[in-house]
Amino acid sequence: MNSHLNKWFGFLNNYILLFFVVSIISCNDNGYDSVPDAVEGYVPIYFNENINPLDSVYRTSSRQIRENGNIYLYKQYLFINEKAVGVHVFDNSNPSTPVPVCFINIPNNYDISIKNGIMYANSYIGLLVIDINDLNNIKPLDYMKYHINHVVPPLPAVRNNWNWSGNVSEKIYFECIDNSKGIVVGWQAKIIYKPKCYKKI
Amino acid sequence: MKNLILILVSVFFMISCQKESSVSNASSDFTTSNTGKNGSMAKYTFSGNYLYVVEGVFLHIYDASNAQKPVQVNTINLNNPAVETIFPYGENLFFGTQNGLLIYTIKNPEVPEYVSTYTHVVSCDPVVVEGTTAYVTLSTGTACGRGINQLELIDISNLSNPRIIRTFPLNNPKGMAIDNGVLYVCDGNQGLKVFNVKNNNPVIINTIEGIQAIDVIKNGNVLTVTAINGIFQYDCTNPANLIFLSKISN
Repeated sequence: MNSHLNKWFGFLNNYILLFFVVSIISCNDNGYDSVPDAVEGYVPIYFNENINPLDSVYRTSSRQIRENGNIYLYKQYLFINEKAVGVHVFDNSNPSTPVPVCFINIPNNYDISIKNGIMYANSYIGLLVIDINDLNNIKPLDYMKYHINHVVPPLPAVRNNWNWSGNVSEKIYFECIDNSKGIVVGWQAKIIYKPKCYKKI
Repeated sequence: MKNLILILVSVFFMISCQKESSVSNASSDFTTSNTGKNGSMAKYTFSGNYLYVVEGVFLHIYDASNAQKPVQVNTINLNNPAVETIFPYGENLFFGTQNGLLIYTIKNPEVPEYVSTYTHVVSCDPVVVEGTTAYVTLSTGTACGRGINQLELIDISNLSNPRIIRTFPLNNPKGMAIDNGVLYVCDGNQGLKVFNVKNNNPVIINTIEGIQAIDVIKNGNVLTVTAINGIFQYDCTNPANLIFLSKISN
């Protein structure tokens, strides 16, 4: 039964992958439009067998937040994700004066959940298990890859700079995917130069 | 029908609990709970001992009975190109997706089963649920291309046949929190809007301007709001008169 399911997922994945590949290729075949010298676009974030996310989970002293993502409340603590880099921890016992506790470096992280002092955090194509019972001495326990073939995530449509009223671009430029670097697990907003790949929206 | 009664009973319990906690001054209401609380834009959530993880088109399910050694028990394909958010409520999971609201039942927590989809125009954002109403915000400027900006109230008293009750135009809505008939909506550069949604008739009772709000968690009588330029906290003992508590700058 399980192997049947796997086969079915596998088939479905290939299908979806093919769909993405086709849509990316079709973005490329229009050579008549002018290519901008420099434009805000996206570069692929790769994952490959040489990356072990567990090695990059560590605590540092608290520091300035650059770009906050999702937040999470657990016991008296407030966890603030900084997109793709980890979580800032505050003691929120008194919400009038949250006190910085530490920063937990977690590569390619956007989401967390916590139960019984154990943090579950997404990282690339899997789940990190981190013991945070003692915030002075956090313990990365395990990295579990999701049991599924990977699908290239779709491009974000609009830059996250809040200026999107009326400024939605007709094309999203991105750095073409280089499969030799690994699989694409996300996209990072960046200024890119003479981009060869784009997607129409 | 039994389920409906169960949901109603639990809602009444929740309401009564919230009234208790609102007596205290700006305190959290789950300091003894063994799981935490996420915002409406989350892709990770707990229901009981099970961790539900949204990743692209897939939902991964982990049994975390042994917290240090979670076991992946299942993966299902949600058959939707971009699932954005997950919200557990009672025996169901509600997903905010590219083209509508997706409902699965988790009566068997390891084997979520598809119940229904409420389809709307191409646009996506989160969903929160209270009682028999689901609240969905639709906004432009997401991965879903050009949509419209509004709040939708969807009747889910019959889960297999969700129906639109009402829409309310907004500026650029994102995350939400709901508690006891009060809905907090992050509306982009128009700030945080507070609605009385009793009787499914949304009425704005308060607006916090000057912040570009993205998501909000209500915990006891504290609102924690994420915004472009920081994290803001408010005492929401009286939702019509939010009291600023603190700001964490970025």
